[in-house]
Amino acid sequence: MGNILKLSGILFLVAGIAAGTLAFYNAFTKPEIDKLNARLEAEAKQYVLEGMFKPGEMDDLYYEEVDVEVNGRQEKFWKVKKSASHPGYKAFVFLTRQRGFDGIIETMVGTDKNLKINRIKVINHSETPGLGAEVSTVRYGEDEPYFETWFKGKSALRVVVEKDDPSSEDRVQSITGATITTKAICDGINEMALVIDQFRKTTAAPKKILVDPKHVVEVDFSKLREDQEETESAEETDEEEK
Amino acid sequence: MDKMLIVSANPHIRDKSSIAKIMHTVNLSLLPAVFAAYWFFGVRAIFLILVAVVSCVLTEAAIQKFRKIPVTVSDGSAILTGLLLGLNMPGNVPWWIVMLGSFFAIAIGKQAFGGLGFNIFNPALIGRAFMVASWPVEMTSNAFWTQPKTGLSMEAVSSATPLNMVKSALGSDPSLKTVDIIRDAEISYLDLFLGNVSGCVGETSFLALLIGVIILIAFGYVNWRVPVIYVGSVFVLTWIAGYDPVFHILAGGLAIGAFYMATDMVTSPVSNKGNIIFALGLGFLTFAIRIWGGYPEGVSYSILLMNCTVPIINKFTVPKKFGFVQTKKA
Amino acid sequence: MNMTQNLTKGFFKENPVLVLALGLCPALAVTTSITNGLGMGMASTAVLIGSSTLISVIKRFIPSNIRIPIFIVIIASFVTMIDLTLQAFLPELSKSLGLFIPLIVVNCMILGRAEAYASKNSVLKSVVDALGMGIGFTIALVLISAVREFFGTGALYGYPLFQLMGIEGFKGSIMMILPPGGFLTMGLILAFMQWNKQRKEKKKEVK
Repeated sequence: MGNILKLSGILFLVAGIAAGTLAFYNAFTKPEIDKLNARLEAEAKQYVLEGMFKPGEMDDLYYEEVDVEVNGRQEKFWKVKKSASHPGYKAFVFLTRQRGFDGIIETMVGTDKNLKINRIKVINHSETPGLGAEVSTVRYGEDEPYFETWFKGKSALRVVVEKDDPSSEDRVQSITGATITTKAICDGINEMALVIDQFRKTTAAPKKILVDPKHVVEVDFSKLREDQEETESAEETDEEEK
Repeated sequence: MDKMLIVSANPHIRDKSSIAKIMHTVNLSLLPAVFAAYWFFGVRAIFLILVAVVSCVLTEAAIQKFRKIPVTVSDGSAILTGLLLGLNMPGNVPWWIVMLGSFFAIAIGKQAFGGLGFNIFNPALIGRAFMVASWPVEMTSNAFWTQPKTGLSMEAVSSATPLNMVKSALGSDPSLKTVDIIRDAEISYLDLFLGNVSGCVGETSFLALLIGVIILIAFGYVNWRVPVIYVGSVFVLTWIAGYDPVFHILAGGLAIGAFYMATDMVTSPVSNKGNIIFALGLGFLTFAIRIWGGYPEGVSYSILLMNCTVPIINKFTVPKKFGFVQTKKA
Repeated sequence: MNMTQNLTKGFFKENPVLVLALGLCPALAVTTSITNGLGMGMASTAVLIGSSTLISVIKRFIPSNIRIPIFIVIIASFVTMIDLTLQAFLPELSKSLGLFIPLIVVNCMILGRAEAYASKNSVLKSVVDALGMGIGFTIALVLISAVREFFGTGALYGYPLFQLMGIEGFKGSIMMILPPGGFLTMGLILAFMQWNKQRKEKKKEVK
């Protein structure tokens, strides 16, 4: 009996020391990890907005975060202005998460005010090398993944895989042998774009939006009511600028 | 070593000339299929078959040289692997893929196991499975299948195989009838039987392969039970499940698989009973992959899967020993 | 056995992966590119050196009945620290190695060295042994991943060799960077080593 107590005591002591060390080490690395993640997110945002603002303005952009609940998931998008004091917003940035062939694909998307895609960036995926993983493959001698360039100028609301709608203006080719991956990214973009679109247009607060028969997107607009008015007035001012 | 207890696949005791004789007869019996490949898919088909045969023979010779054992290229088994592999290629596949596939077939599929007679799997199918897993786009996408009779022109017209067509049409609308789909694509049973459809260069012609296998059965080199029961079980199963049975036995690689790959002496069971079980398994797996699976065609995977079961089948179908009386348990 | 032998025995003669067949899970799973293989090898080496040193230092105070849980706690602590370090400073590597970093905990090479060597030998010897084994592990991983990366993508250490030589249109065999390629490469390397060993033994017999 005494022996068991002694052994448990030693084990407890060892585990305690280990836990203490790890807590200390975590406190040391946590801020670094957070800083790094924030930096990566900021870089991704700037990447998808490239070309929409003058190069000098890129670092001062003001991102206004809007949190929404989509299908029970917490999602967010950002309204982008030249600076915090600037009245009108000029672009949207959003992050979509969609189930691909193998795990979740995270895509950062930058669009203009009318939800026309400027650039996309696949941030995270675990698709099959050679097939689905082509979404982030940079061909030798090129600067950006060829897949991402297909999305330039397409409407985020209507972007669709060529196979599903060969006549659409907003069609993108699907990666050979990886239609599921391409489709997942398109669906993800459609879904978030619809949420933003409703938020942009409606004055009433709809409870349900139909993205397509498979995806029912629920947006709780009660949280957004205040933003709504702000946006509308901002939109007007932006119009005046032109 | 308890070598006495091992039941190995035939040939058991044959001298070298006999293996060579069988192999060369099999090779010659494939000539109608090679001719059909040329007739429907043109010079490029012959080129692909030649690449495969030459690569297989060179690989075999090189490995046997390296292992310092007698070079047995003249027995024709490497040529057979090359022929079967070449006949199993889509018409537009790049030649270097065929070369690498042939190398893999012989090096890993055959010589790594110890050479002819020791391989568990059909080497040509190992090569094909390797190629499908490695270059899925080139091996399975519609852009690499050629429309028959366009191979002579420089730019071969690509076209989906009948099985691909049916699979994708049924995928978008399960209520369609197979008969209607192929009628819309202007494919008749006669086209399928003669081989005038898109597909691997040597698999499309049921007729040419049938001629070949009848010769082999006549010589006694092929156990008729395997091809007959394999094709028959696919027919019956697709019929019961409400699909078009004639289409399913004529389309795709069932003919070359059932006639040449499943009947490979080294990788099929020894006894007749074993062969019947083997063929029924093949029929069921092919049916299951074609109807329920993600791939339109399942012949090569069925044969590879059933190849694994051959040792077990052999174990449970050992023929009764001559003069041996089973003692009843008291 | 002198110190040099103690260090170099892990390289080839007692290579943890290729001879002792320890730590096969990471050797098969993460070796899709040399970068990954190298990263995994170095992360494991760091954990191995840390745990072997500490275990060797406190070996007198570890009661033998509960030595395994204590080893595991120590190893897990080092792994967590490495994981956090990679996340903070080498995010790209951390992302591509993913789950396999936390799984270093169950890499039997590390527990194996703790049990078989560090808990019985002096601190200096244990450090040298851990370093040698870690380098051997890294060598094996880099070897496997070089084969797989070359045949799988036509590149080595991220440099597209074929395109640099001006050969267009080559596409690597995807199978080689998928799991079957891992098993295949591993099997072929083991077979080659075995064949080599038998050949040497035969030569000795002849002499």
